[in-house]
Amino acid sequence: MIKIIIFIAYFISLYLVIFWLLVLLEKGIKTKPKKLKNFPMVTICVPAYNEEKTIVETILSILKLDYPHEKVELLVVNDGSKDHTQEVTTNLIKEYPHRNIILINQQNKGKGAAMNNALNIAKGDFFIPLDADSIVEKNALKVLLPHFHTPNVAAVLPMIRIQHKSTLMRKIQHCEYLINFFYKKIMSHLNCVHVTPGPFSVYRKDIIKKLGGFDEHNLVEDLEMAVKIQKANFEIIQVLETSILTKAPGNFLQFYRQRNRWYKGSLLTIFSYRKMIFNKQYGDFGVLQLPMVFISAFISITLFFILIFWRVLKPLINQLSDWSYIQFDIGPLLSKGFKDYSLLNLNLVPMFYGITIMILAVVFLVLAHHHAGERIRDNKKTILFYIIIYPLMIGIVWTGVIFDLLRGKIQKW
Amino acid sequence: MVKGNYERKISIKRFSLALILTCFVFLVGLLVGNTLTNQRTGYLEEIAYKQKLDYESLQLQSLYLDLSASNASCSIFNQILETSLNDVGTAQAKIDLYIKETSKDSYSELKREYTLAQVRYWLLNKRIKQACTGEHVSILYLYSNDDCVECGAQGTILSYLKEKLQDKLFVFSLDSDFDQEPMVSILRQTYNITKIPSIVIEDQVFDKLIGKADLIKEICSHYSEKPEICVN
Repeated sequence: MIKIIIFIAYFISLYLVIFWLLVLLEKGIKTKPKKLKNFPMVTICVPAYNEEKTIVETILSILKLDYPHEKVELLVVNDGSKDHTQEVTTNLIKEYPHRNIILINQQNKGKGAAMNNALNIAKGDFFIPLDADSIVEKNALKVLLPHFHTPNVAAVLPMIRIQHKSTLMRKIQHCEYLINFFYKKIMSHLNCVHVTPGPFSVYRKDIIKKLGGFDEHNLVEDLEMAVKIQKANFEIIQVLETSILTKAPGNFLQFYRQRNRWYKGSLLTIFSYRKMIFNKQYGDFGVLQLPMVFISAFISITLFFILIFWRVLKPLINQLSDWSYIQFDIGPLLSKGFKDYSLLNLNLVPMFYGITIMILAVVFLVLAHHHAGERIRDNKKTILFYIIIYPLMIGIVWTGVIFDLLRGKIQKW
Repeated sequence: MVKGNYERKISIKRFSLALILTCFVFLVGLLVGNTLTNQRTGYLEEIAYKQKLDYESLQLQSLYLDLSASNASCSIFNQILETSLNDVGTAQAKIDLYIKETSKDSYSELKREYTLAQVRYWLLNKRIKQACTGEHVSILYLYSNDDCVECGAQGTILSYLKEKLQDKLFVFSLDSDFDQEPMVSILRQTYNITKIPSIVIEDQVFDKLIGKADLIKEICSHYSEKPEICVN
């Protein structure tokens, strides 16, 4: 049974990597640089809850955007913060009296409600949420807006990078982001992007308003919005030519909490849109992208439980327990083990599949670095940790998510 | 509800091509597996052939010893028996590993051959003990690869003692679940073995896990000239 599960996990992983590389081979990755012909009005919304420490940097990065100042409306929604977010923002408004900054105070209702509040009064043709812990690159609007070349494009997304790569956990996430956005770029060729992240996803305001705005009771309102856009047959485009810097969890516990919310939210949201799954009407999005969350969960848990626990940890524990009977005087056994060892002992079949997937994954990794303008040699150590530790981390998160769902534990946000 | 006009389609060609390529990789994997099984079988058959020759030689020696038992020929006999038994043990361990990785069917005939070798050597050993005044203890060890929590520990203790006592201890190990060879059930019935792991030390049956210290004590009681491990 276990062998069959591992076999299925290998097959699916290999199939997906080959599929992505085929799309990449066919469609390429570069998007022709376009020039903005006119400057439409944009509304940038910064929902903030207890963000006094980071919001100034976020707002200042918006004010420095290379875009006509009169065409930028900035709505800061203070979501009932208990710290000095309100005062800090008021001071900034006073400091920049000629800029169009509006502070909206609301009772604490969550991020979705804060963004809807701003969406209702936004004057811009485009609506752009920006998390209050993120920093936008100067050229962002000039790079992103030209991609709205047809009325069918509902959202254009920048790349997201980690701002301070101070800990190993953040470095690993940096690697993860490079790969994820490269993957999203590939999937964007098939219009299969399934999440429009909080930092600086540019939306065509009319469309998302007509779609009912953000879901205020969702753990992942950004994913829900993307699925809603896809369901209505609009386009979402991923761009790699500009980046938003964001803060990432610095240790595993913070990482676990964030990902638990994301993955649980994804699972629940996609479950609520289950009629789209394997529905021909939604093309590749329904057939490939929506089931992907379930596939990732399956592969992560298989990898974690079967490969790591069943094949590595359990035999290791058994071996240690056996050795305890000879008081760990293992010298004589090891010398016999070495003497009797033969290359034929290696189980070459799973090794062959594992190595094939690994080689393709490295090709993917190299391309992701190349297209993000980073050199692989600068991230050598991190990549090694990424390959070894990251699957474990994700396996633990997914196991936690499944465990939570089974016992009915769902956090508010 | 507002609707866009993006034309959705399923990339059937791409999905199919990816499927063909994936199947191709898996086919290559299966070929690798097949080649590996052939290599392993070939290697084990080679050892099995050598074993048969060794056994024939030992049989002849035992006949000769029946006629004229001398301590010098006993010692040579013991040495050859020990080397052959070690080879069989190693090959048997490899078969168990290969079976765990693939399936029982691929190696069942080889497994039977090696099980028989163990029994043959065990009988030969019993017979020769009467002719020679050899200083070795023989243990028949019945283990199982399925659902036997304590077999790993018992196997480890026995391997450890074998390494320590070298030619003073002969361990004949049999997979008690291997019902394709009737000899295994016969031995099980003879010694009335119902639990696994079980060990038979010079016809005395122990049907539970025996720890290192107890096993040393038990084995040592059979030596007239005590080896170092028995003295400490």
